[in-house]
Amino acid sequence: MPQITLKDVAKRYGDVEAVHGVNLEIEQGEFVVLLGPSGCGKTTTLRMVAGLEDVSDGELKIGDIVVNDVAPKDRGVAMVFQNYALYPHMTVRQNMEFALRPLKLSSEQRDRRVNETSAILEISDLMHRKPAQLSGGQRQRVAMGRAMVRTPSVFLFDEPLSNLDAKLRTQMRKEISRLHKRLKSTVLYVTHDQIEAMTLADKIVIMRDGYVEQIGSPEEIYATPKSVFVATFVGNPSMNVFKGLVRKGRILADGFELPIPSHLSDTVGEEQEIVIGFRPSDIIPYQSDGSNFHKARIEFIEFLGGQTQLNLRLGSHGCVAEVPAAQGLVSGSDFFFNINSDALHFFDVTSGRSLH
Amino acid sequence: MIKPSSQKTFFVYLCLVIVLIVFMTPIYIIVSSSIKPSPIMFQKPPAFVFSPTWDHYVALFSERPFLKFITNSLIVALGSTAFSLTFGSLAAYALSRIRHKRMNDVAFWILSMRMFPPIAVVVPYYIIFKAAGLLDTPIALIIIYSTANIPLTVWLMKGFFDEVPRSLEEAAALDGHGLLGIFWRVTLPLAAPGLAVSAVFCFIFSWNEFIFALMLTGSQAQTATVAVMSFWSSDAVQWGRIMAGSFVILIPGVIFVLTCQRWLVRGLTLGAIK
Repeated sequence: MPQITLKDVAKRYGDVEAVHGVNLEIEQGEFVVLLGPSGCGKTTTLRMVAGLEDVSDGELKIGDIVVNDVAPKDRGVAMVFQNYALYPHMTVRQNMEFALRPLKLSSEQRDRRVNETSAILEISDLMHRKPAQLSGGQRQRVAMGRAMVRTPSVFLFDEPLSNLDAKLRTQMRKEISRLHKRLKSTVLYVTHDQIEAMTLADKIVIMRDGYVEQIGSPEEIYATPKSVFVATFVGNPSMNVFKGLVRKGRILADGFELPIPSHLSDTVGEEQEIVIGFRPSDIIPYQSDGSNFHKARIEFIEFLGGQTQLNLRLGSHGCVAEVPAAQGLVSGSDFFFNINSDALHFFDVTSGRSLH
Repeated sequence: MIKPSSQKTFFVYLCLVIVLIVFMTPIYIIVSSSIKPSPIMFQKPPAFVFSPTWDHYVALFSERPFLKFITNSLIVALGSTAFSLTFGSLAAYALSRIRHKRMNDVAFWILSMRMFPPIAVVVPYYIIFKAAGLLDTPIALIIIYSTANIPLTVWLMKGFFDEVPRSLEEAAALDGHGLLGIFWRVTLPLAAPGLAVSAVFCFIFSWNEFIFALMLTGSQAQTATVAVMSFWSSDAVQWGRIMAGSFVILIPGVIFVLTCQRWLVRGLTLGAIK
């Protein structure tokens, strides 16, 4: 039985529908990430699960109980807020105890839980400080401690790392992953950062404009995006997309052409417009034995250490390629390349859905 | 040669001295007159050096039950302050948190209660409290002062509640706390400076109020401000006793403000978010 079930869950503000009929099942112990750009409805969805927003339509279940009208305090969920939301007038210990207070534990039990949690999070020596005396990373830990100390069945994270600097974010990301493996709890995590999503998630839910675009493992999302949006949103640098026209067994695009892959020949018709996508890393610089190469002009080169990012002009479009460093390339020169034909993606031009 | 910084300091102190002279002169007159022997009270030029006398204070408490009047004042002022803070902060919390397009109208309506000139409503109040049998009781004054204090409290506290981040209340809700628990343990403590400011204003207004106390109280519920004025009769104005009474009236207000002052700290919500 899934731990959390969303069935056609929708959220309306007046006449505006912010989240449209989301269907999602989260299994016990699963780490699910809601990923999408700002305003895609991911936080609203999370807040509905938390009980901080009413569910306008549909059914929301935690375990086998419909919780549409259950108050947040009775849902057995804990949440880590984007801005931490620590109680500023309480010490770290009091912050954590405050979360235990409604459970009416004995003082020994309470102390034991607070001490255990603080030890796991390595905040034991901060227990007497107030939030104002903590650094951003420490506040983040305390916020997680306050959520963990209740040992809830479900953890909700609302962009918990977005206020940290890059280095600390990486560190805390690993920490969260480690904690999840250790506690084996169910997690619903909202982020707009695809690296967080890819590294943490068992399952990613990509949202856009209040709709779920695709649900799948990080590998599935990356390897077989179901729409142009998912294809371009996930991956950095993002996937190159070109419009192409099917004609006489070939696909003609602006600046290059390709043979139609065999698996696609039945789904596309003559003179049909389609969208072709390929990742920057699937551009293979021309080797002397290559037969069928394409030509582009190098506009500028960004050296990234192990990799070099080429910003190309292919026909009248910009295109990004990622190639191993030290290729002896210069801006303004021509660049000959192949595209890994196994890594090509094809989408319908109107719906944006994958043609595979 | 004065450096720019010390020049600035000089002007700051000059301003302070001027302000202090303006504010402290009446206090000096009250204190000095209350211990001046009556014969030299209006001597010209004023006598700055004299042998002090406690006669006025002794008379104040022996000729009249002044302690009772002070007690009345305390009951009325503390009662109205407590009543106004309780209901004012609850109303302010509702105004701050409930989103409705008419909420601003409600807030303005509450404020408009304060716009009555007191003198205009004295007679209606008199009739109402007479009918209710509440004339010459502290309850009547507590009710009237609260109608003036609640709007003030509501407006002050609404501003303070608006500053308390909502995510703190959401966090408390997810920590398993109910609405009242959240209000009492999270929101209200963070708005404590607002409570202190409101308490000071409510107390001082109720403590100093004169017109309603004069019209609606008699021998039983008379407050200290009215009692002091009873030394001003058609036969004689007993300045020494009035000044002694005035000084005694000053003291509880000062104590109350000093007590509240330690809650007047800024930045209570620092470190809550981000």
